[in-house]
Amino acid sequence: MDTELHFHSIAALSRLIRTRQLSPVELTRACIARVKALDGQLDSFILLLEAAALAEAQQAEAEIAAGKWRGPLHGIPIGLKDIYNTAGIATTGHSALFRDHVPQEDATSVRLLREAGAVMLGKLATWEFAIGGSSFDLPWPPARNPWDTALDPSGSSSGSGAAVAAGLVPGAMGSDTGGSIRGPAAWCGIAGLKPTYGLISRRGILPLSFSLDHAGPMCWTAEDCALMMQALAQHDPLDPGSTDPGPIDFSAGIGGSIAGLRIGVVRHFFETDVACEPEVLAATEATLQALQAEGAVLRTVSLAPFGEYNALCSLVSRSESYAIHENFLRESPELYGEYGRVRLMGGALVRAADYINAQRQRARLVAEAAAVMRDVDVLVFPTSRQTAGKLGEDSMIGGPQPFFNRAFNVLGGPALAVCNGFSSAGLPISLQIGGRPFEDALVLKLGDAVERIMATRGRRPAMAVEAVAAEQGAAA
Amino acid sequence: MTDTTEERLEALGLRVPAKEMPKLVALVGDLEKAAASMRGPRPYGQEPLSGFRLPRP
Repeated sequence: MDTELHFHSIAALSRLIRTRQLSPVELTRACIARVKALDGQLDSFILLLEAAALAEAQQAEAEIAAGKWRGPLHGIPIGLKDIYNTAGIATTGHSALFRDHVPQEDATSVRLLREAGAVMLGKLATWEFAIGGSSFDLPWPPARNPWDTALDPSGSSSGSGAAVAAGLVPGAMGSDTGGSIRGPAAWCGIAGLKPTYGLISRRGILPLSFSLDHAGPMCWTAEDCALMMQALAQHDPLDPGSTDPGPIDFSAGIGGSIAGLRIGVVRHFFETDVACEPEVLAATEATLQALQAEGAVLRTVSLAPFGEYNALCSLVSRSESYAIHENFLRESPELYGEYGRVRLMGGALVRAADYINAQRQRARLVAEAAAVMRDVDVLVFPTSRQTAGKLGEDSMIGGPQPFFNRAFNVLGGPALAVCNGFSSAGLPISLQIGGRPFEDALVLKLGDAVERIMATRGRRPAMAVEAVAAEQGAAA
Repeated sequence: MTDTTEERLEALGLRVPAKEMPKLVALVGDLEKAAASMRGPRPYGQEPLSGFRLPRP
């Protein structure tokens, strides 16, 4: 097999599979081999589903050979953050508490991916129960950043970010309560979409915060996120937050012109509310100038201070996550890692009135943002104030939060992290694009444009490139 | 409320290793600051801002 296939997008792989230039079995075998070769350095997989994935790939191959192509995900290997229930396969939440938890049913989103013909390659590392942090006191080590394995991939969808960036798997599922898709997407240099609240069912995904949890795709490109969304966005009556907005063509804007697009730049987030690294600011300005040169119209807009979103998100998520974990925390606190135990227990002391006031304030912020977005089509700001931090550092305490993600968890609209440059140390920098509810396709369109205009998709982590070169050398 | 964070947690049946208490106290302090920023008088003319919604029949 052409080892550069590891660096192909889902869109490119799908074209090869559909035209029978590439076998899903060959692709799955290649991904398995790559996981075995590289994941000892990354720890992005908790469980590699080798036999099951090969069986699914063989089924896909037979169906495609029989003319029954199901769509762009048919025969494509996908990784699942290990909070997605998989029937008969352990779903651990990366925690000793759930080490032996074997669900009887797939999560709705996993079922939809299977129906689209995707191959489930394995279960991926996460922060414990999607909140704990990059911890060394859990049954499995934390995932590492493929751009520098001494660095944090961020979380909580840490394995998803690391595995996709290193080319171990072309696409993965993450979850995002306070930025857990967009954080690792940013620090690992990939695309990650937190879709509009309710577009993807959370049924069968280990919950953290019912009113803030989102499921979403993490891929090398915005275009690939659009392809995954097409399979995933279906109303689910078993998720009370699920909505049915009618048909959406998530790929409608991919490759299109952005001339005339009105971009609201939330400058106060990154110029006055939170201090950013100079290279992040420079990449943001360079991207804005490039988008303007392509015909986009830039306007500076104001929302509530970022700290208000951050405070609100903390109150709501800590209260709801404590409610979910209360019994476990009382009965088996020793089975949690330190980060998870501390972060979850903090919610025990939030007063009911304060939680309700936070939800009331959320409604005000949603109305305020909707008013701002009557005059612009999308909002942009950096995804992170900095490039990747050191692995194991507690990003939840001691200084400003690294990310600007929580605003769109509060607002519920779509938010996409895309790579828009690299630091002088060779680490990815990311732009965040937020949209009106259910305008995910527009957000993906601009994300695709940023990736093309800033030409960031031709660069992969050195450890991944060197592994491919070594394979080619061995094959020669 | 004069109880310490540790006492309040114990009253809820929660046990925390002593070495983790400083982090937990810091987190509880952050949450209290967040909560304080959202207290205060509100104009009722804009309510309800939070509610229960039934699914469509």
